[in-house]
Amino acid sequence: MSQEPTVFVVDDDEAVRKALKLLVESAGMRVETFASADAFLAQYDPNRPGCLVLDIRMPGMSGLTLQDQLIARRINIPLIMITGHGDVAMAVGAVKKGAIDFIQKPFDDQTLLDRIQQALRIDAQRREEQARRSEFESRLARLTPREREVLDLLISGKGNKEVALELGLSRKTVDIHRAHVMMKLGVDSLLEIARAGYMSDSSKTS
Amino acid sequence: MSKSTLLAIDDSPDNLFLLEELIETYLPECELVTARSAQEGLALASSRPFDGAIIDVQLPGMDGLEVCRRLKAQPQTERLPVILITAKGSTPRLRAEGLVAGADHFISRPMDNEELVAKIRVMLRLKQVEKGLSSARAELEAHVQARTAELEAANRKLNEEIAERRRTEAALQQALEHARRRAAETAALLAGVRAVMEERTFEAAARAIFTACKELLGATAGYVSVASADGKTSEIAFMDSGTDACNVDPNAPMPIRGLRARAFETGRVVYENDFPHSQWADLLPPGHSPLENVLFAPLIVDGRVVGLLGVSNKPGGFTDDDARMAAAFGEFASIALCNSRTLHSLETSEKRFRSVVETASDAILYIDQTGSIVFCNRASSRIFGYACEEMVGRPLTLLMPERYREAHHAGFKRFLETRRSRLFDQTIELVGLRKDGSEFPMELSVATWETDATCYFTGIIRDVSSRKQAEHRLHRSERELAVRNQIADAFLTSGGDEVFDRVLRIVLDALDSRHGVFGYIDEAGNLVAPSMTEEVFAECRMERKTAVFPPDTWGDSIWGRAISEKRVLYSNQPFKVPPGHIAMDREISSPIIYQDRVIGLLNVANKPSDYDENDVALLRAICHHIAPILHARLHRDRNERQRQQAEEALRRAHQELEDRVRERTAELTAANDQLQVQVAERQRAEEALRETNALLERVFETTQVSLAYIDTNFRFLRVNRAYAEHDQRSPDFFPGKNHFDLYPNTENEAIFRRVVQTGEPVEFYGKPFTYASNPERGVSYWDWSLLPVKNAAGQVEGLLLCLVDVTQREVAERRARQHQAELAHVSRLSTMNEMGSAIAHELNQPLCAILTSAQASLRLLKSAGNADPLVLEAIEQVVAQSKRAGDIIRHLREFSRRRPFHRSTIHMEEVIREAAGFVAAEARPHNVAIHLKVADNLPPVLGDTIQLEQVLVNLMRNGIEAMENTEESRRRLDIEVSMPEPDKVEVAIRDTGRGLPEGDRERIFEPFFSTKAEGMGIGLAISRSIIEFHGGWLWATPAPDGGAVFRFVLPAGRSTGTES
Repeated sequence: MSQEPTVFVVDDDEAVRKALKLLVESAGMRVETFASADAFLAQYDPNRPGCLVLDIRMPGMSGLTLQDQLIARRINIPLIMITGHGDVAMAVGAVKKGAIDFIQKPFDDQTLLDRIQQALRIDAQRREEQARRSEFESRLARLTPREREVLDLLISGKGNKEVALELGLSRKTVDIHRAHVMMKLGVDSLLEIARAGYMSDSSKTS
Repeated sequence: MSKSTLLAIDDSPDNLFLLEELIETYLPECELVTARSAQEGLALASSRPFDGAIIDVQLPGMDGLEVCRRLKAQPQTERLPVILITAKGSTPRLRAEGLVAGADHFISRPMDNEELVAKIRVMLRLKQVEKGLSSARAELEAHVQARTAELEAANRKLNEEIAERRRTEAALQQALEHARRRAAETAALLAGVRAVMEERTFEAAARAIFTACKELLGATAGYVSVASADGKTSEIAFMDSGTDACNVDPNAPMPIRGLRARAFETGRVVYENDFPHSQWADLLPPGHSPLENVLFAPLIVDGRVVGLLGVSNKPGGFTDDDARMAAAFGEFASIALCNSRTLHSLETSEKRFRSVVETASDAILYIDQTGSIVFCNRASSRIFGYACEEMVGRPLTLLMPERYREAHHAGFKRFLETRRSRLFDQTIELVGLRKDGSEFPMELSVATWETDATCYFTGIIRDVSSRKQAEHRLHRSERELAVRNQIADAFLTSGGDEVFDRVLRIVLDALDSRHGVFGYIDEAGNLVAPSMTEEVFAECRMERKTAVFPPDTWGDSIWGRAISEKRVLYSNQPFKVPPGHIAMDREISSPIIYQDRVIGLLNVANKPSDYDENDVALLRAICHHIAPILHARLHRDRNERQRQQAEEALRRAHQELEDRVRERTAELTAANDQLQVQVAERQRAEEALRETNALLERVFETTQVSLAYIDTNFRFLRVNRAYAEHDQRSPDFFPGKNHFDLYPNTENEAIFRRVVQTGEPVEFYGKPFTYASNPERGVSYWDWSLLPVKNAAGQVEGLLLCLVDVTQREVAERRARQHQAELAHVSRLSTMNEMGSAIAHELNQPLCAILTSAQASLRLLKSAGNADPLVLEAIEQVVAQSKRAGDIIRHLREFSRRRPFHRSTIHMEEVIREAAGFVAAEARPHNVAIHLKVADNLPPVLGDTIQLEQVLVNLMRNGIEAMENTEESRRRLDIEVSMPEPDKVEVAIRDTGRGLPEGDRERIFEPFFSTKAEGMGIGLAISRSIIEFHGGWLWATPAPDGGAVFRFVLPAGRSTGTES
């Protein structure tokens, strides 16, 4: 699986597809084209970074329907809609549902490329965010139950001594547990843990 | 000094607490870490180094023994000292188990604090000692590693040096080998050259060359072969079969095939190092000695391969170097071959020459520059009669007649001085002198050739006496044949007496004579001479000149005697002639005899030289030849004449009779016909007249077509009922009145006049007509025709006017046409709308593709960096125009889109101010001053605010753009709203710009007409359409001081304006 982002283009008109492929490649980006929304869905692997440039009006599954499908499958790829003749209302609806932007044919090359760059940036950001979150969760899983207990109490604001008392452990023990937690989670302070969206068990149930 | 850390595993918090206190008090150098379960404890123990562990045996789940076992089993914790705390009443068995599990100490409950502390101290001390040991070991290991690395480096370096030295040695060895080889090659090449220079025969040279080559290459066997002329086989010139016995016959010609054929084809050295396994192996003839490897070098003469030098069985195989050397030897062999061939051909040449010279039938002599004969061949002695030895050393003049010797010496001398002569490159006729003194005609060809110091002459002489005689005979018979042909031709192509003239001329010409007579004997026996030459007739001064000579006048003349004696007579002496007769110096007379009768005479005279036997023979032959022809001719002429006369008489008689008969018949017939015709005519005329009259009357009166018969002055003669009724009059009203008095019309009068003049009828369809004197009758439409009526002489004596009133038809048609046009217009508009939409939609797709592709191309070209600027420019144009096309399409859609019409009451002033506000942003940078003038009490208008604003903005923008090139101080836009009529509001926008384009002002309102390079030209068309929609009109006029004024009028606010 290549890590270079790909611009996916879906349009039923062959000439437009070819032209877009040429344009995007000329700007130095990878591009794959599909003649229908079905073809795209069949082949798309959600792990591939990139963005989607999509014609609203197509025979078979329309651009909007595809958007719904992607939302249903929780595929978060950024969308740019291309509209032909006065489908502004539809395009606005698409944007409300999460499309990055829409652009009318015939469009200016720079405008489209800017949008694409923007979409790719958004996609990269989302993925990074996602990766960071998974990373964090996997690290959390590595904590022992005791470490988890200590963390919960510490996060809720209790000091080491309090925690030691509550858990019936020596203060040193708590120190050590705390150090282990920081190391395993790869953070320098409890604040970072809190920022990563960590919710202690106690607060989860509240 | 850092603190030691101890791990305590106990599920009772109280125990742990106590322990903690204990350590704090008695072991301040220690820190305690606690775990409340076996798992927790194990996890902690693995996560960091501890100096000791205190484990309660009784733990829930996994007990302390197991924990201890586990700790000792893991590498990180195996050295961890463990104190097990056992419960009250623990057995020695348990201790034993504990020891087995790896525990170092035991304490049982209730714990004695001092004991515990002491045991802990012991544990710690042991730990320290251990630490010291491990650090010492680590140091040692590091040291060893360093030393090892040093040794390895030194070893590597040593190996490198050895390798370097080895390389140098090898190079030296190679150089030495190379030099040795060079010396061997040079020696071998020298041997080859020597062979070429010294050996006389090719076989010897080939042997020497081959041997040198074989020894140099290290082969053991081989041969040299030369190909046959057809190139299919080759013969061995020299063979060395080495040490192996070869049973193949060396003298048999070898077919050229296999690897040898390859050498022949390519003209290059070929070799095969694994012969037994190669494709050529099968071609080896049986009995051939074994061939391990073989090499062939071609012998090339004049670019063709003519032989091969082959070597074989070199131990180790042949190399490209070998091939190179072999090629050189091949060349030596080629040169040797060439040389031997040259020598051979030289010898052959000489022999050939000798045989030619001796067997020639012409005399061949060589003369030196003193003029003496140095060589003569056998033929020379035959022709001249001398023996060769008698001629050699004697001067050439011996062989020529005395009279030529002077000229010869002069010419010879001239040549030696100037090196030029007229003798060379020609064959000259001369006379030769034989030994016996006789002369003979000869032909001579001379050439000259030089050696270093001297020059020689070669003469070739042919005795042509016999030839000359033959020529003479041939010439004579040719002459005779020519004359006969000419005469035959004359007889064939001439008629009447002309033939005699022609034949005579031919004969005179052949016999080179000035005068002559060619005549025939007629029925009366007279000699008729139609051919006497004109001069004779003219010159002859005899009184009685005649062309007819009766026999009694023949007398004693030579020609008379020739006729009567029936033989040819001639004389070269002058004749006695009657006075006045032309002088006759020489004459031949020959009778022309046919079937033993004399039928004619041929006489020639006055040849400049004497007549000889040849001439007489010729004339005799000619007469012989002419005789039958002349006879036939005379006979024919005679017959012909008679026949013609008889025919003539008969024809005349016949003709007379016929003429007379015809005359009579004609007279009678004519008379009869005339009578009949007259009668019939009379009857027909009467009948026709009756019928015509009746018909005319009927037609004239009943037809619906208005008919009027008028004279050439346009006065009515008669009109029919229909005509009269149309004007509600009676037919009697019209006769005598002038048509144009009643219906004045200058155009029609001219038409009528033209018809009278030309006599040609005219027709009109749907021509409009107004009654000049009764304009209230309006316009009527007529189909009418005017026919001229001609009299018997063809002159126009009257006009017939036919009219049909087609007003209703015309009006109806016009209305229908108009309706159709409107309908078409409307449907076109809506179709256009629809089509426009569809087209626009369809166009967008490809347009998008075009624009995007062009923009992509531009990017690619720019990023490559070396694009041709013209190409870039071209593609930029594509981009710009595509964008423009897109704009046009968009505008088109707007143009055709039916926008909803929001009707409201509008005050123009407000709308104008708003529009001016929009435009201000553009006006300001251009420094255009906008002035507004509104009349008082303006009524509002009904309409769509937005659309009217659009119009105003468009017009104002146009104005501003038009003033682009106007001087800044003069730029102003004047907007004036006024009320030209009670319910009309007019808006005028004037600019001081470049004004309207030349020509039709309406053009600017057409869609797609634009004076701006990037304009689309839609604005004004749309504006006009909007104004029209509002029930108004938009137009433009030039402004008085340059610039343009755009005006539109709208109806004031009432219920006017088209519904949307």
